[in-house]
Parts: sequence; structure tokens; C-alpha cells
Amino acid sequence: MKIQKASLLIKILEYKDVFFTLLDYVNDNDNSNDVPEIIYLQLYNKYIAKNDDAEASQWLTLESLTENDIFVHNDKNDKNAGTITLQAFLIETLRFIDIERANELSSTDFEKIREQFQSVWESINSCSGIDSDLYHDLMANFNELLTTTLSKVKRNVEVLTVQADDIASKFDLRHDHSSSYNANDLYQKLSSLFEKYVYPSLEFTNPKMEMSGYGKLTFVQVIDEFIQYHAISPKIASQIGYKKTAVTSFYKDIKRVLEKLERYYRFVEIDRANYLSIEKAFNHLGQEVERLRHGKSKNKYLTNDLEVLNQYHTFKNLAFHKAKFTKKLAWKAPLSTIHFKQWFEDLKDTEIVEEVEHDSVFNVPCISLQREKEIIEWCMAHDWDRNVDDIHQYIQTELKKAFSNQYILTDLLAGLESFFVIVDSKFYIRSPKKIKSPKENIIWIT
Amino acid sequence: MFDKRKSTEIYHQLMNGKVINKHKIVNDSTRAENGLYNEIIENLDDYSKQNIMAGYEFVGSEGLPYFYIRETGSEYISDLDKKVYILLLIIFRYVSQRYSMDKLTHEAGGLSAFDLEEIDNDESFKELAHKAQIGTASISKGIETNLVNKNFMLAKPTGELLLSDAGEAFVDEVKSIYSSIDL
Repeated sequence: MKIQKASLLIKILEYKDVFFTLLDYVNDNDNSNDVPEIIYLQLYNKYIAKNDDAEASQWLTLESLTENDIFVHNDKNDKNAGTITLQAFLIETLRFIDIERANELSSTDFEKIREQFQSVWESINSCSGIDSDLYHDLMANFNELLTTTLSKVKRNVEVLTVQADDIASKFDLRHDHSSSYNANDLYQKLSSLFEKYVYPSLEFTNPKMEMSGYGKLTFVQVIDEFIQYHAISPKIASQIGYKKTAVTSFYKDIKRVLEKLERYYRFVEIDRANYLSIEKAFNHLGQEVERLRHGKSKNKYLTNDLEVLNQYHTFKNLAFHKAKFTKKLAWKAPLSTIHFKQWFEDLKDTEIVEEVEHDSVFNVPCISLQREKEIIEWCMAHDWDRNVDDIHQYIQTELKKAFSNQYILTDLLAGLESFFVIVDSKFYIRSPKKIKSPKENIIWIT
Repeated sequence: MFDKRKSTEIYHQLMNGKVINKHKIVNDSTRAENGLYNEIIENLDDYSKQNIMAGYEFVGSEGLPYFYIRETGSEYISDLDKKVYILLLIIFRYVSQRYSMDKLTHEAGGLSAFDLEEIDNDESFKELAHKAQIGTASISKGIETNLVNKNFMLAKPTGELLLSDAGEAFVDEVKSIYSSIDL
């Protein structure tokens, strides 16, 4: 059934998500525009056939889309049997609708464009003059090429900006410690974006770019040649000049994208270096585990003498030191002969010391009651100093003064005993602290 | 002058094979100076001499952000070293595959219960833990016993685990060794 093209396209756009899935498949598979028909049939059954939209279920069948030149169906004899080929205009339309699904221009794309311009230039340069028919055909070709290039470059900048934003949002996951972030994947994506798309875009739009290779001209140089060729027709020359400026003005936009990506690149590069170091460390350890598998080594477990572990010096010989001092015998266990044997061994090791009676070296000092009474009375009557540095020496000196020639050493003992009895302990304190008594009777003792 | 309460705590921690880090995690999940570390720094000569007299090497006085003691004379790493190194490498691998390594050091990050469960379910990690004789229980139990209890990882009040100063020093060592090695 032939359907009007415009109506069919409107219906396709109503179900654009189905076709975006096909576009994703194309983007992921080298852009060959071929999609296994089973994928479309599954999508059709899931999202289109089950709807109440009778028009869609009739128009968007595989047969209908093939008949109306939206798909090219590869027949059974074809080497691509079982696949459908999407028409280029459909791919372009879908990419136009969704910028995130659009492709960046690669160095190959730019080279193709450059070659086209150089080819047109060489043809014009060799034609008979601006009045010839060939010149007009070639100029029409040139103008179309220039317009297409301008839109492609503009579109490319938009795509690269989206890609840079995508990188930025992926990089932001780095700071969200619960979201997945793989530095290696991001690094690969960034590198690819730089090498394959950003640098070729910059080179294409860079006015100062020089080509290597004899006779090769850059896009900008070719346009300059056109402008120079039309020096005698200033109107044409200025029109070409405007379009050239329009294309090269995107250089700044791409440069801005490049600077943005470079900022992320520096961080991602560090993260990736960390990732690779840890991968190597872990794999190095994994090699040791590999040796233990399937009886490849005499040991069953990783041993402490492994070089892969002994190379580290952050810490070494950590141990639970207290374990060395724990009791070797569990005394709380039920009593057994082990306890008796241990007790017996301990007993045998114990040195038995017999008690020996020693003769007293010194006679016990004795003091008569009379003498003791005299000393007590002396203590009671004595006017004690408020600050005494050495109580022993002080009492000895005072007793010597009081009893002159009769003083003997035991008098000091009696004196000290009396002193501590008559002087209330509350009223004296060892220096340097000072305690005040109600009567201000303070004695300093050191 | 030494602080008796702190010195007792330092003794118990060192004798239990723990490291004393420069920083600890406080109630608001931020890092703050560890009073025990400062106590050692203020009385470094005393602590150093005390441990040397007890027959240990006092490691950290040369400017490390952590202290620990060890017996001198052993040629190879100890069983505890082996377990700690391998558990840390398991954690580094897990994090580097899925997140930024900042997860282990940034105060907003930390190894969550979900992450520990994922580690427990990973077959390659299980095999490695088995070969390192980390124990018959789960790897996360081994992490608690050998890393958290020994102060190589610090638990935030919300439960997530961050690397301590000693743990971070090990990450740096791994990076410096393997950044220039091709396997």
C-alpha cells in the first residue's frame, strides 16, 4: 500500500522512540545503516501493534515501510539477509531531531569535505573563464558545498558541546560517592573525543593551519584562492568571504569546548593513573593466587615471604603483642591431674628457706619512766617555733639545751613521741601547703 | 608532662597491634586531631625510650602521620601485615573499578554497607581472602577485625568506613610503586 510520504513521516515521528532505538543500533555498529529486522519486529510488536492506533499498526509494518522506501529490505539471497537498511534521509532526520544522537565529524569527514573543495577549485582554476557554462555549474556546486559545510560545522559544534556536557555530567558523578564512576572509561571517551573529533574540527576551521603534502590546500586556503580568483568581481568575492568567516568563526566555539574538556582531562588523567596502578597491584597479587591453583605450587595459602607483599613498607611486623603474655594454662577449666602436676612442678621450683633465729645485734633501747615523764613535761611547757625545717634536729637541739649533759639518744625518741601526741595533727602540715588553725598555731614541718 | 589516662590508652592500643593515627573521625564525620597522637608527639622521647626499653621498635618518630610498635629481627611480614595489606588491596580494587578513590578519603564518602556486601559477594575477592587465611567468616568481618579494629580504617558515625592516615599512606605507596611498573 502506497502512503503519502509526508503523512508517513509524521506517523514515524509520532513513534520516534522506536526509530531512535534503531538509530542507536546504527551508531553502535559502525554507522552502516543496517539493522537486524528482528529488532524492528520486536519494537513494532511491543510499542506499535499493541496500540489502538490502527493507522500506525498498518502503516508502520515492515512491509509497508519497505514498500514506501523508508527501509530497504535485503532479500534472502543477499549477504545481508535478515537485515533492513535505513534510508540515509531517515537517519539524518532522526539525528537532526535529537542532537545527542548526532554524530561528530571525524577527521575522515573533514578530509572528504576538504578534498571536495580542492577538487572544485582545481576544476574552476582550469576552466576557460567566468563566462563559461562549466564555471557556472562548478560555482553552483561550490556554493552548495559551502552552505552544506557551514551547516555541518555548525551542527558539529553543537554535537561536541553536547558531548562535553555529557563528559561533565559523568565527571560530576566522581563527587557523588554512591554513583558509578569509572576513570578509565571516561578517560577513553575523552581521549577519543579529542583525537577523533575535537582536534580535526579545530584543524579544519583554523585559519593558520598548514597541510603537509605537495599541492594540498586547507579548507581556508581553498576559499582564499576562490576569493582571490574573484578579485575582479568584488560582490562574489565578498559573499564567499562572509561564508568563510561564518565557518571559521566556529573555531572559537570549538576552542571553548576543547578548553572545557582539557580541564576534566587533567583530573581524569590522575584518576586513571591511580586506577591503573591499583589494577597492576591487584593483578600482581592475583598472579600469586594463580600459582596456588590446581596444585601448581606446594603451598595452599599465600605465605608471608611473598615478594609482592614484602615490597611494601607502610607498616611491617604488626602483631598482637599482648598475646605473648597470656597465661598458658586455662585455670578455669575443670580440675584435672594437669593442675596437680603444674602445682607440683611449681612447688619443686620454689626455693624453701628455713627460718633461722638470729642473735639480736643491738640491745633494745630502753628509757625510764621517770625520764619519759620529764620529757613529756618539757614538751608541754616548751614554746614551739612556728616554722621548723627539720623536726628531728630541732627536738634533738632543744632537748640537748634542756637536759645538757644528761641527754642521750633515746631522749630524742621519747621527745618525738611526745611531740606527735601533744601537737594536734590538724595544726601542722608538711610544707609547702599551709593550714591555718583557729588559734593561728602553725607548725611547718619538712 | 605525660597524661596518665592517655598513656595507658596508648600502651593498650600499641600492644594490641593497633596504629595510632594523626587524625580521627569525630561526631560530625569530619577529621580532627587525635589526642593520643599529640600526646606521643609532645612526649616523643619518653614514649620512644619506653618502647625501646620494652624491646620494641617505635615506628613513626621519623615523621610519619601514625605510630605503631614492632619487634625487630623478623625478616618477613607478619600474619597481621599480610591480612591488612590484602584486605586494603581488595578495597582499593573494588573502589577504583566503580568510583573515584576519593570515596575512601573524602569525608562525604566512605565504604557503605552496600559496598561491603558487594565485596562479600565477589568471587575473586573471596578466593583471595581464602588464600590469605583471612577467616571463615565474610570479608567484611575480616575488614572489621583487621582494618577497623586496628585503625587502618575509621568508621564515621553513620557507619561508612574511611581510610585512616596509615591506610592513606598505603594507597600512596601502592601508587608510587606501580605507577612506574609494567606487568
